[in-house]
Amino acid sequence: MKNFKLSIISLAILGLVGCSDGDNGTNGTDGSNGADGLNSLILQTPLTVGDTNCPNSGVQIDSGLDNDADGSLSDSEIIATEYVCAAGVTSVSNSEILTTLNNDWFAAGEAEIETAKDVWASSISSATAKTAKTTITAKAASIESLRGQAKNVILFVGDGMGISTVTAARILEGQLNGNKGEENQLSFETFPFAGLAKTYNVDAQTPDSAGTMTAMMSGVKTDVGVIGVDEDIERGECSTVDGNELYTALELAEIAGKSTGIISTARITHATPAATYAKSADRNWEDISDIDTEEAEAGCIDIADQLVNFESILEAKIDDLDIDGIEVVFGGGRRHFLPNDADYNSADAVSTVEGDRTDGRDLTSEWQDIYPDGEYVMDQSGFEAIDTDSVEHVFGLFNESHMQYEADRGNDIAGEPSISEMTETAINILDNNDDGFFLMVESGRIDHGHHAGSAYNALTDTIAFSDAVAKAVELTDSSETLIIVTADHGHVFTIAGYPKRGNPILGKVVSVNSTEEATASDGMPYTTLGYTNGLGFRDLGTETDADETYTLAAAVGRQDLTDVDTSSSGFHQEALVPLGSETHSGEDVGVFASGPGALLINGTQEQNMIFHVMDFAADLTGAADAAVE
Amino acid sequence: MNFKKITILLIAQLIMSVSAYAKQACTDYRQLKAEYNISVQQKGHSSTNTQLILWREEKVVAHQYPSTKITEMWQNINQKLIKPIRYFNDYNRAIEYQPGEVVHGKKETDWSYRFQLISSSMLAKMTETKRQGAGCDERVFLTYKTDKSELSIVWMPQIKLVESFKLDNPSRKEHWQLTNLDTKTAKVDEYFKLLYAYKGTDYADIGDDHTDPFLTKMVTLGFVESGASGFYNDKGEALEGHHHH
Repeated sequence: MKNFKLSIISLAILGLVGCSDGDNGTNGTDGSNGADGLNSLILQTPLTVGDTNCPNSGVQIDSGLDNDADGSLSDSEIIATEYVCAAGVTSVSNSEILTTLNNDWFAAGEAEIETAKDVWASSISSATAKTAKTTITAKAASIESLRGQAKNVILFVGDGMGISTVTAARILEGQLNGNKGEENQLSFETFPFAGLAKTYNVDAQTPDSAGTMTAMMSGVKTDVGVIGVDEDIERGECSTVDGNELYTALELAEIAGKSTGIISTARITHATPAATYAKSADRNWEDISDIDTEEAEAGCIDIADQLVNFESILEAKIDDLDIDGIEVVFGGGRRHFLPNDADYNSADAVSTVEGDRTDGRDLTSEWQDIYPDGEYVMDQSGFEAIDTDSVEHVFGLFNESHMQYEADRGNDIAGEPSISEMTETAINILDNNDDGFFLMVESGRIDHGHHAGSAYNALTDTIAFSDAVAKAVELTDSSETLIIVTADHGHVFTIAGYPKRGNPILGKVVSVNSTEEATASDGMPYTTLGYTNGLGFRDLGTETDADETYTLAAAVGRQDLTDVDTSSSGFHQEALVPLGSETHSGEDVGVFASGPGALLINGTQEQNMIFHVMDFAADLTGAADAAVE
Repeated sequence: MNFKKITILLIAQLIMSVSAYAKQACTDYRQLKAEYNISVQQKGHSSTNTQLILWREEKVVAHQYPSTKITEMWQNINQKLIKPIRYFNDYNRAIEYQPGEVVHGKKETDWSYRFQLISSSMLAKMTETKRQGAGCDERVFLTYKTDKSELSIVWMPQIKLVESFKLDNPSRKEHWQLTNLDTKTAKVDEYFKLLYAYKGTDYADIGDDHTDPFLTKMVTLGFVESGASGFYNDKGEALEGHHHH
């Protein structure tokens, strides 16, 4: 249209140029109207917060000509685009601040921090607390004032309970309670202090229970596979034990006059519990038949023997020492205490000959001779008959080998107590001593569930373990009892994919905003939980004993899970690398603590630090030194 | 050399040996060593011959497979539970399983199935076609037919032992033949004593110690169990075994 108008003007000018001074001519006739021009359109589009061009919202302004005259501005017609963006928020109003600070989540978080502060402050004098908050020097002094404040110490060890296990168990427990699960907390996750422990052994990047438990119980990291001795040991060489023994927190507590106890759902001679009382060049020397003849003839003492004769062995190391022995021992592993003779079989023996000992000794009988007033029990009814007010020593061996998985406990022949029941009974016996007690509680079968590739068994045992911790919290006074909950190592156990909130943790992945099972690039569904290695997939239905996996060849790699109920107790998760069993992992483990000295559990520490925290909080070394002076 | 004559002679000697033994052992059939030759002809495959040695006493049964150097043992616990143990003869090692659990997809509940190589319930389903001999020499010929299969067994009821077992169906022909029988209890005692001296590992501990070279090799050692005659259901179909090698 503009060009057309210019043409008219040009003609007019040319007309003027062509005239001289003659008369004005008559006006020409009007030209015809030009065609309508194109409409110019402007399109405004509101932009929401998060837009690429206007992160804080705004308006996008597109302009152009309506070439096709359809009354709208299509993308091809846009000539220019401009943005008018809202300014970013650089300040908040008082009302907005109040909303932020008054919401339930903030209030709960603030209360938790204050509670933690109170726990810390209550364990020292108020004056010291005030001072401690002001200067670093005073802080150090105030921490020193905590030494010996813990009358009782309880160390809970979830064998193999790595970070992913804690997370998955927390979700499973929440879901079993009818909730989404992720928001749930296991009992020990509510403790005011937590940190991480580095688990490696002196000679191993990925550790085993023997080396890690020795670190926790004795304060010194050592080699894989050895019990209660330092790194100068040569595994399998009994003669190298001499001179390399380490004192344990349990021994120090015993010397200090405290009552002591050991609980394990594994064999009581297994690596973790053994590291509380034994010194052995090999974790597998659980009874005399496990030791080479030459080593045995050289005087090497098996682990079971060391447990039963703990009192005399420790007394022989220190002049004039007089202790009263371990008050409470609960676990499995009768086979290592009985002679290899069917006449000694227990009522719920699961072998034609229950005992393994080739030296003909019945260590249960020997224990009874040492503690004539003590009670030896081997089943649920015997356990329930224990009078916790009067009994001074109790020795419970509830299974020929390991105790049952919690999910499989109902299948035990003679019946056996839960880890929570054992913890309760132990504390009720140990707290009869006014000088306090040391108790170690191990959930040994979390580890076995993982080794077998069964998340179900590992997680249900973790939940039972959490219940035992809750029972200990209930039965003790947090102002005088240090409780530490940790693991010796983790497992190659993963929580993966992008399942939506509340998706069954044992189930197959269902993505956010979906109701259908997600599929992998191979077109098949997959589970949230999985293992990096091991024997892999099993579909054993309602089976509750994870160890059945060892009766079958490995089935690693991808499986079609379309018609498999992955939440059933008998399902074993897929694994990648074929191994005879799933393995430990080398990452850090969580450490959770409450009570006097608990504040020392923080940050990332070496695992042997746990011993030093216990030693400091209860002043075990100081009290033991005083007792033998 | 006339191989045919020698073969016939050997078979005759074996039959006489078994027969003579039966007379002697009838009073105590529980403790014995029985050797079987197993020949299998599958359609489209060449035939195979393997050996199974049955060792047993009152509460313990072992099936020794010399070809794989593995011995499976079952212990009868108070007539209530059956505990499986697997012995790896080349390694002097054993893996002990929990009684009452499923092993190889099968829960051990029938002691006769391991003790006799065929369960008493299966024997009860079979039809007697002939009976010969008396006392300890008594033999019962039993058959069981389905649409596609036929089982034939020569059963020694006084010894509770299979002398011969044949399976015949379009895809598989299998023949178990007792080749030697020994009731010298010392031999059984000696073999069991040998096995009991192996280093045993609770199956729950397999994952515990990755420094143990035997346990780390477990996955490749095979989970071997050659089939026994009791592995057939009432349709004559193999329930398990036969193919794990």
